[in-house]
Amino acid sequence: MVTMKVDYINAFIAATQTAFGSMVGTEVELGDATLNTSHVTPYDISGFIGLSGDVIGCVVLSFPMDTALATYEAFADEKIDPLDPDFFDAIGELTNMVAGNAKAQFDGLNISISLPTVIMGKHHCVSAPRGVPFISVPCNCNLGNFSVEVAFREQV
Amino acid sequence: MRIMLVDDSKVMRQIQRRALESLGFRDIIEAGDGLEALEMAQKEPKPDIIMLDWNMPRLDGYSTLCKIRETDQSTIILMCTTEAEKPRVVEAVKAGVNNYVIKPFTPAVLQEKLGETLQRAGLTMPTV
Repeated sequence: MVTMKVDYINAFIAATQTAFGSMVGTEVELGDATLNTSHVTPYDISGFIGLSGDVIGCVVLSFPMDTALATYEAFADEKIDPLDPDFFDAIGELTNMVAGNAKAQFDGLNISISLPTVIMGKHHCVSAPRGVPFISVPCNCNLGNFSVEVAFREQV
Repeated sequence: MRIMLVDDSKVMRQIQRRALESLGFRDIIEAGDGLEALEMAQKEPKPDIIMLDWNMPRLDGYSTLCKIRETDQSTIILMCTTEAEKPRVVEAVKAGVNNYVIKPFTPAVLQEKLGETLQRAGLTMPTV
């Protein structure tokens, strides 16, 4: 049976709320988390950070385009074209903040995070490392809805 | 007072620049990674303050900090990073960083950290 400690997912949720509160100026409300043991099919644009070291996994922030553009505008205080490299840069940086702050909550685990990757395109899929489930947490804020997807397993 | 922002995210540099300008800093230069920062730190006029991200391509912030401290103990250096674990902070302090700002941060936090760092160095924040 595939399991994931609640504390792990809570760290990523708290980090998401902190990042959006501090950098975007909005509160994030959470829906019910669901388990997905295969790949996830998120929204239009996703920020991806890989986790390695004492754990294996990844964290993905995934947005519908409207939410992503509104998030950029609140983050950088300007409008942007969705093909502008700065748009990808901002989504990656937000994902980086979530991953970085979450990993600081895991005392005793040595975790490295990758540089962020951003993927855009309708119906793109994100795959977790084999045998590591995704926990999907739907999020809502005044800029729109988005999701946090976390795959996380301690290395044996 | 010249301040150099070192971050591979152009958007983060832009956000930091705006926050610093609102605090009265006017002479702000930017580098996109540690190697570029080392080059720029050699040129006159040299920066008085360097704000360093940790995770960057080519040369990370910690390695950049160590390189600078090999020859320069006086430039004020703040790490400005998502690397928030205690061992990382200790590592940076041992390498000679003057203060540590954890992302995400609010402009008020940046002001507080810069203010206390400058005060310890006998300097004052610019006037707005």
